[in-house]
Amino acid sequence: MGVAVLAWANSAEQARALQAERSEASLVDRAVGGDVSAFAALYDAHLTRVYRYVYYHVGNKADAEDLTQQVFLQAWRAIRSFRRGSSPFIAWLLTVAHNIVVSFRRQYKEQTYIELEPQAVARWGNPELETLTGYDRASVRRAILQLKPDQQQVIVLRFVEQFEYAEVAAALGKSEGNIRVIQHRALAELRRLLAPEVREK
Amino acid sequence: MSSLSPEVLASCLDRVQAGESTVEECLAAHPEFAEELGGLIRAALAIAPPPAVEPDPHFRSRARSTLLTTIALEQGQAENRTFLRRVMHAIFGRPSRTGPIGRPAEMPLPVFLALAILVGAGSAGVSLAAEEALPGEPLYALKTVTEVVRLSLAPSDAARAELNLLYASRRLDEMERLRGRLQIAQYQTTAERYAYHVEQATEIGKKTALGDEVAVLVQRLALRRQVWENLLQAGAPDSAVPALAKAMTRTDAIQQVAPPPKAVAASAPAAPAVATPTAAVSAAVANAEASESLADLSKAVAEVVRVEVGLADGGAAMATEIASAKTAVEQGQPELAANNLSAFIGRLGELQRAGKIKQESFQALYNSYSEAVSCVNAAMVAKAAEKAKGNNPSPVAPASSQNASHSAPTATSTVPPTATPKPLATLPPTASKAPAATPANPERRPTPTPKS
Repeated sequence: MGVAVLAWANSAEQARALQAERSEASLVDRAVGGDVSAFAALYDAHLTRVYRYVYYHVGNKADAEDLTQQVFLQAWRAIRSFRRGSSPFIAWLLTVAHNIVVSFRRQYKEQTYIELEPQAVARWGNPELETLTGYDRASVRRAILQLKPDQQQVIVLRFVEQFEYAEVAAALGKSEGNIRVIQHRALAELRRLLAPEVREK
Repeated sequence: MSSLSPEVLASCLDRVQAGESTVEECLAAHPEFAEELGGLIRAALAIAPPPAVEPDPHFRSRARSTLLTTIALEQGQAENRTFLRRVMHAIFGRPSRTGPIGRPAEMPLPVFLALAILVGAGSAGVSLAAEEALPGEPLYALKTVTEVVRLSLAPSDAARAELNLLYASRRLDEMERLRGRLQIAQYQTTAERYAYHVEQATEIGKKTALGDEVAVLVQRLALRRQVWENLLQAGAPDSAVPALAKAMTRTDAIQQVAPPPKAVAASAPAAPAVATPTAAVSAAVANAEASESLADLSKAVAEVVRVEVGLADGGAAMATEIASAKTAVEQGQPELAANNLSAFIGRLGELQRAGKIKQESFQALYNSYSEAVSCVNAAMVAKAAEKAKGNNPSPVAPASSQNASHSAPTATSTVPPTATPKPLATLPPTASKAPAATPANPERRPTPTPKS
């Protein structure tokens, strides 16, 4: 009996997820076709995620707000070139965000707002991870931000944003094999950057 | 001697993250790479999702409206009714009834507030600049959006009536300033929007008593009714004729519901009541005075062109307009001079919007121009008076000379012109106009140089 209920609940959830997917797909199609109101709906749906992504990179509210606006504007301008494939729309949006963040940081190399504002750190859950792995989150983030742009992008999409290989590959226009290679190199580099930070377990 | 492959690393990571095996089990499966594999997996596991920061709700709505407005601006080159309606829908949601500007019947409150913020305070520079925009210019869409928002914000029927009349007179200004440049679609649209606004005000007037403020606005529209006639006479495209006719009939209709203002001088800006005295002035004298004022204006323009504007960018054109105006009055055709002045102020406005002229210079020219307008108005009235007495057959000049003037209407009306163009800083946009011959339309409330 319990199993049946569980099965039903899972399929209901699946049905909901499928429905959400379909309606987003139709929104995306309309936006690509030039429908401004559809694009506005996509903005509503994805603002938080884009904002968090940008915030992670720049560490402060003012720049995060500024750049997030640029992301959506740029996304609108480029949306004709978006192809609905195995990559979710949000993944594409985050690649737009990545480019904007990278050029922003290139411009302001001298000022490294690398540290997050305290209120953001306070909202960063999961302290068990630190004792488990011996690395603290802030150092890990700092190290990630020091990676080369394409390595950084793969790491952030895979582990920070938690996309699947297929989704990352589609978003970046690369093969999955290629993604795994970049992932390997990036993790090795990350490990190297973090080496002095290792606390003995 | 093999080395750890990306695939092995990836599959270990996947299994560990999925909970299918522990790190130790992975290392045990690949003892030759244990050290490297272990280190990489640990690094991967240390990567946490981003902090759960929330975007500020004000930022969310502000950014949304800015985004949509910017999109509208970037697409504003193709100003057409369909596009404008699409922008409206995006911002306001689909309306249940559509007027000529796709006005919203219902509007989601958060969106509405965001736009009100944008319009009221946020992008002050853009909003201000938009108020001077003309059909076909990128900021015109924003001008329209601003008007729609203000209409929706109107606290009462009377306020809404007033706003509608204000916007009706704006459409008139646009028609006059664009005369000769209007594309067919814009002719129609602008005229229809004028008619729509007047009709809205009329409907309100049928239900509620309209105050003196409104009565003054109605009277000004009535005085400017000639504009539509002139446009028809000057040869509007056939497709625009119904819209122009509708503009005229609506103007007539609203006068039925608007009571005559009790004290025109009280609510209007200081306007000398010119009734009979000017009739005594002969046309010749009036022309001479007009010529003198134009000579002064011409000197002022030449100076500004020499020092600031240069001959390109409309400087030469401005000077030409004044020269032609002067010639016209000297030949006894002040109505042509009125057209020249109208074109002149249009150019001056453009230069000011483009930031090509200093504010003091603009102010000085505007003052001279106002003076010239008064004199030319007086000349037109004097001429009409003499014609009425049968003295002076008014020459109907050919449609256009070297200027932008399109219409050469005969001086038909004897309604006394109210002289003073609007003082610059005040708000209600329409100075009273002499009705004949789309008279020189003083540029109202020129904005500070917009930065966009």
